[in-house]
Amino acid sequence: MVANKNREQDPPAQKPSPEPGLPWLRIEHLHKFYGSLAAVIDVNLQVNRGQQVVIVGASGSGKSTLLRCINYLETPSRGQIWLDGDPIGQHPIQTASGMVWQADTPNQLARKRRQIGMVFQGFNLFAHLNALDNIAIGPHRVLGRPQAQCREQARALLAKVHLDRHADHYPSQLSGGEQQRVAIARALAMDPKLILFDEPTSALDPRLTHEVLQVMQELAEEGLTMVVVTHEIHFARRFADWVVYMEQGQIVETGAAGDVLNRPQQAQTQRFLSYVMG
Amino acid sequence: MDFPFMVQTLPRLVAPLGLTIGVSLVSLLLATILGVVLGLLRVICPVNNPLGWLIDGYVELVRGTPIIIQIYAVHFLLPPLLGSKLPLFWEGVCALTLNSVGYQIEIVRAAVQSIPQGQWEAARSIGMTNRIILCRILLPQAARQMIPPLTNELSNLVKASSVLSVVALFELHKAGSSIASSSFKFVEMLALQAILYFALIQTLSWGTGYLEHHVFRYGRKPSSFGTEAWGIRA
Repeated sequence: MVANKNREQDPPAQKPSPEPGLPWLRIEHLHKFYGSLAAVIDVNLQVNRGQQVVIVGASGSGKSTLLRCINYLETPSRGQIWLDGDPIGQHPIQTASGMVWQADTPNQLARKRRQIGMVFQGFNLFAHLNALDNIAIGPHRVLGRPQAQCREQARALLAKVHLDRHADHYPSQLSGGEQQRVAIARALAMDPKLILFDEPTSALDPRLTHEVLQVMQELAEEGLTMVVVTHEIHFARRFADWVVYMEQGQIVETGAAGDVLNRPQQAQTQRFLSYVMG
Repeated sequence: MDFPFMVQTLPRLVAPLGLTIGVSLVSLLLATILGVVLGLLRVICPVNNPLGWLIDGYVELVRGTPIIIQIYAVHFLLPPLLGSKLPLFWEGVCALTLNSVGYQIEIVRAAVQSIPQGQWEAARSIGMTNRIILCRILLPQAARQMIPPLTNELSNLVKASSVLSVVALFELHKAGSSIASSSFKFVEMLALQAILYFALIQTLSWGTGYLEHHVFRYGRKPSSFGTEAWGIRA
């Protein structure tokens, strides 16, 4: 998937694939409370390797919080997340009284987060680095690879998101669509097992939105596992294998994209889609 | 005003001016290093952590007491603590550094905390540890934010060095005063000191302006306000 194949691998990437049939990403009984407010309630979700899952729902329905819980930018209040057989945010330890779960230390968490890319609504490119180094800094500083090699890889990734001529540009010199494509390349540079997209086009006009969605479509065709929160329903219909509709922190309806978006079964989903489709 | 006297006296102030520059710049360097380290520690310090209280307490102590008392404190308390007397220059460096660190901790803290939350999140999402985030993502961006308040601090430091005259460090103000009291040209000597301090601080702040607009630009167009004020072309 990434240009340079014969570089050293992360320990996690060397692990054998899970037994066939086991989902790549597994979310079990996930809850997130802010004081008395329940943002996410008992979410269960499974994503297979190479699948694209789109989460839709109104603002405040908990879909972004769910996404941010997957890589522990928000710490879930309850529940478990597994990626490729690896529990995220906690690990089992053996004690005298049996096996118990212990929260990951910040460094353990950082190590697990390398496997999960994230693309944000506000791009969040590093303002002091040009496009090339925004992409190269992850492999260089986190994985400890030589800088020249990381920049070479970054150049290939820039070409992949159709920005080969913008390597020297700083974020402040790029359009929103360009920034978001650099942000996608930055996530790809870590060769993640999964990329989370949190409303990647909500800050963009229709033309720039198109640029970004096109890149996401290309990545999907290459078999990248993606979980996307978006309001672009037409895009979701083309792009997603699986669609999740959320309301008030709960999954209301989930199924194949064609089923949920064209023939929603639940009244809440029908109502929401009627607003979006006009 | 006796202008010829002022011009004649100028050479006698060169060495003391050098001492003022030396004591100020060495203090600034040490205080910036300590300020960055303590300021970053303060940022990542959890709430209600004793280290945080200690740093906050130090900041309040420095802010709450006059520099002249801090200088006397170093002068009288440091020798018994160290068991020997420091050279006057290093005593001055100690006093100014201890003073400046208190302000710089706050400068660093404010600058790092002003970096948008999204930068933390993006850095975390690619698996960076706190140490990498602070050193490679936040500090380089905060550096630019820190320059204007650091320029303030630098000018305060240079001027505060004049108070070191109370412990008989022969810097610019001490030298000027001693010439004044032997020649009775008080107004001339005060004016001359004012001109030299002013010129020194202007030179230093031109340098920091250059840093802000050229070295730490990160592709931004320099604002016309800032560049015109500094006479710098984009």
